[in-house]
Amino acid sequence: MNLAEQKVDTVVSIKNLDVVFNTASGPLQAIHTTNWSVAPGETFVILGESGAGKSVSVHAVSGLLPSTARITGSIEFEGNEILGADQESLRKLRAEKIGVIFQDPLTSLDPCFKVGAQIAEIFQVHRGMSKDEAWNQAVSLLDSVQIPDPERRANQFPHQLSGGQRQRVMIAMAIALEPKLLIADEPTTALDASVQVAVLELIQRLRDQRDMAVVLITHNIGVAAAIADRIAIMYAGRIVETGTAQEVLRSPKHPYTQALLSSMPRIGASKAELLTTISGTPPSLATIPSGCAFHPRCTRAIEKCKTDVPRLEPTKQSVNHIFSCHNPAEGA
Amino acid sequence: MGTAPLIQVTDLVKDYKIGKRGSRVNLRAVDHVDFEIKKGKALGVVGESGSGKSTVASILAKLLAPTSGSVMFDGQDVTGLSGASLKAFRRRVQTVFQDPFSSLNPKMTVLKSISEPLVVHAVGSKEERSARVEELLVMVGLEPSYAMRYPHQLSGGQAQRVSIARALALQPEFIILDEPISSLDLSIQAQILNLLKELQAKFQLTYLFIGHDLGTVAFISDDIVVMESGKVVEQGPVEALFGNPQQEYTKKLLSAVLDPEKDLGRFLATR
Repeated sequence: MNLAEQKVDTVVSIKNLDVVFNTASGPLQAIHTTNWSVAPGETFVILGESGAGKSVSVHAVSGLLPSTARITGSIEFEGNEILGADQESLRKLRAEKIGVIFQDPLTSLDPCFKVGAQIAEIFQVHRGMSKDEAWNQAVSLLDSVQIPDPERRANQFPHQLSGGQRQRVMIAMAIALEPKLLIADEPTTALDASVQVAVLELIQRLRDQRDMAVVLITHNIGVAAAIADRIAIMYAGRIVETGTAQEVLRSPKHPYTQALLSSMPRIGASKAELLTTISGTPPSLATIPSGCAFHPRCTRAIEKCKTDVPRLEPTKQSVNHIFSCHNPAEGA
Repeated sequence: MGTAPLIQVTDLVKDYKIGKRGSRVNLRAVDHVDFEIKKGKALGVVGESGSGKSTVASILAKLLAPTSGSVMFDGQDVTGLSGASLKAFRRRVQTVFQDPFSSLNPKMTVLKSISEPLVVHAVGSKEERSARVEELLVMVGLEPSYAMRYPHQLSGGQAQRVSIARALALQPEFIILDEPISSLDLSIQAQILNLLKELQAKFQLTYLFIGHDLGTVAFISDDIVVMESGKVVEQGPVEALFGNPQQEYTKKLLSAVLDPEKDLGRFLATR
């Protein structure tokens, strides 16, 4: 494999990643042999329900997993392996090249400091700027995330801002050092719909201006559809289907993806009948079913599904549209 | 046709005094709101956070007293109820909230939680109540054996089913559903929506459904009320209102809905 070439193509590439948490009641495997990569200027969306492992593979990259996590496999950042790298260079890499935003900006901001000061601190620590320089930089950054009247806002405390503005402040902090990768973990889940649209538009604009790679975690199919170049659907710690947004959402192949899409109530749909549902509940890590983890809830399950984990294989139409199913519906 | 509404809300106002003593200001959370719900129908209330939709729900559930205006329930003004007549009202009106784990007592078994309203209203003997709890559990799609579980032994969807079972225990006529599926997993949301719809048909229930996902609200509701800053900006039958919105605010809410089909690639760069 040509390393130099890879540098241009991918910002981060995860190969055969396993993450196991050591718990009091024994090891729990959160993700199994997971592979994905994301290129500069691309948005990769990981979609799934709670406990599916959406956040785990992503935070194996950001370094935000608890110390009980055992990570094996490979994580290459700009072509360099970072699993097992020394702590100091990792810390530096993550600070400079990876930005992270979370669902709830109120818990990520310090309530005791002005938002301007919280942003300025980044420039003081990492860019060695003076207090004044850093403050001015913070104000201009607030302007670039489209916060009106940035000078006044910089002087305010987190509780004085609306939820949408706080999320913009978080985004400003995440992109302050011009990272190559932005990790957005359910960035709009706590926001009103119109604010959600504005925040997604902002992420998209910043991604394009800076040629940033974006990995966005969500459980909202509409959000995924609107912003993703490529999507991975996760279930019980495995990617079960991945491809372009168009491929996965327009012609879903995995029974789980198909069922999720058809169970979503939509405006303008005929009212009389009930929604298509998936029976049962998503499994917890401690009780992941054997074989294909989706088999107890799957209407297409056959004997083989109970024992053998299906492999990810490409569809007939596209080598990049991959899914794992022993008994896919016609046409797959 | 021509039936009197079960719920009639007229000129409802709720003010909050905020700020320090001496510089109190009035915050009008609900601003002259009118609507009605006919028996057996579901009214959806939509609006962004701070629009006053949950305040309206709390007033209807008599968890909050309005500043002025009236709430007629089955022909009777309920705003001033107290004592025995309030207790009789509470039997006919129930609520289900967003987070089932905060509405279930963690120290009570499912049996105890669901039978509590029966105990309060002195319905049946202990054996009869246990039998009723089993019946209710089956009704909401849970095994009767769940009666002996505690909330922490339930998934979010199961806990919400228990909350619904408890709401049904006294055979109410009107159920207020305040974001009942928002905290649930995607594949569970559809299950609970179907359950609510089936129960409504089975027991002729009247619903007030609050939600922020317009697709969900449209699925459950016959009519919609759109609220902004405490005011009703638009109301009408769901197809007409979402199909042909008149007010800018309603249009704005609708344009913010991200549909997996229509909005595919909406934020993709024009590359």
